[in-house]
Amino acid sequence: MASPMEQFEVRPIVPLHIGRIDISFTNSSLWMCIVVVLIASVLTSGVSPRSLVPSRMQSIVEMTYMMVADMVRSAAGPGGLKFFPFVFTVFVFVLFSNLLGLLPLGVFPHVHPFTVTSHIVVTFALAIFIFAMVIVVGLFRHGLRFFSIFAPEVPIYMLVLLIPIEIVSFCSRPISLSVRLCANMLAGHTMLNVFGGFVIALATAGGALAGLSLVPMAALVAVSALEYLIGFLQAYVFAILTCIYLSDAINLHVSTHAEQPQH
Amino acid sequence: MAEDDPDSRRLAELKERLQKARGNRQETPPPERQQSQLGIAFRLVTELLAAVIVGGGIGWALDRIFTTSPILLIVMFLLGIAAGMRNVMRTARQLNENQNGPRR
Repeated sequence: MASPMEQFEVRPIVPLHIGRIDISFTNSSLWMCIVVVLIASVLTSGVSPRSLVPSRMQSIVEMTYMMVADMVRSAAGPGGLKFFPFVFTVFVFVLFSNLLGLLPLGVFPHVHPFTVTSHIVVTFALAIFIFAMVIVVGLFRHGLRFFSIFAPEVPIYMLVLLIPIEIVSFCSRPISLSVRLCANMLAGHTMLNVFGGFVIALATAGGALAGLSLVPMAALVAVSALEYLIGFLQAYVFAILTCIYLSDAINLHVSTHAEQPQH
Repeated sequence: MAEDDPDSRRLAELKERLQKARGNRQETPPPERQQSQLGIAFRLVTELLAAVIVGGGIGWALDRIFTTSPILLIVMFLLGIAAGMRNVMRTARQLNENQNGPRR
């Protein structure tokens, strides 16, 4: 039987090499393209009727828009709305990648969905881009005062210790952001695969054991439902953390003040 | 005049009906409040681990540059643990605020 990790394998579809650099078009790239095309078509076809009383599709698109707009406004303040298009793009991309990877396409031979976000390369690229953007925006807005986010409001002698700690903590953001998303996807899909393996192994064992296969089957149904929730939730968490990090760069002092008052 | 316009009258009616329908229903909490215990635990663990890894990594790299192995690795590793704790506390505070609403 196929190993549970086989679903994460990246296979070249169109091998391409420039010099010694491998830039093959892989199943990962294919699914990224599918995600982008699907997002574009769902969003444009959803809002194109522009009816006052929205159809279901238009309603979904409008609700997504409103949700992300509310999220940006509440997490980054009105100044953060400039970054709404970026946050929306990140959110929708992660959401669609998470959900498309759960499509039951495996029933067709030679077709199986690939979760783009289950690879740390992809999520880390997103996270490091966000991280770089936070620094650039912060430096652009506040100049060198941006570095005051490393200095919490404490007595001077504590700063010697706290500034390095804050710097390490700041640098750990892209890693925790990317690892969280990637590990959630990886763990969920592996779990689904393992449970699916149980069902098949028990069902083909014959006799009384075949009846037992209903137990992992029931668990599989529950886990699948949970996976859809996690897919949505992780996209949401990814986007809201993007907002929070951006808000640090935009409203330097508001955020440091908001963090301090309890003691 | 605007009241005589059938469209605007229908629109006003619709607004009323919508408000009535919405009033009967509880507002669904934002997704972050529905987060499972497992999700929260997982989030805290990644915050802690990421800082430790980054701290250790910075220390290791600096050691290689200045050939002071293993002093900086040890120092930065400890700082990483401290930063991880700070991350965890900050995240927990954020989650608390999300769950109970902002403090006073």
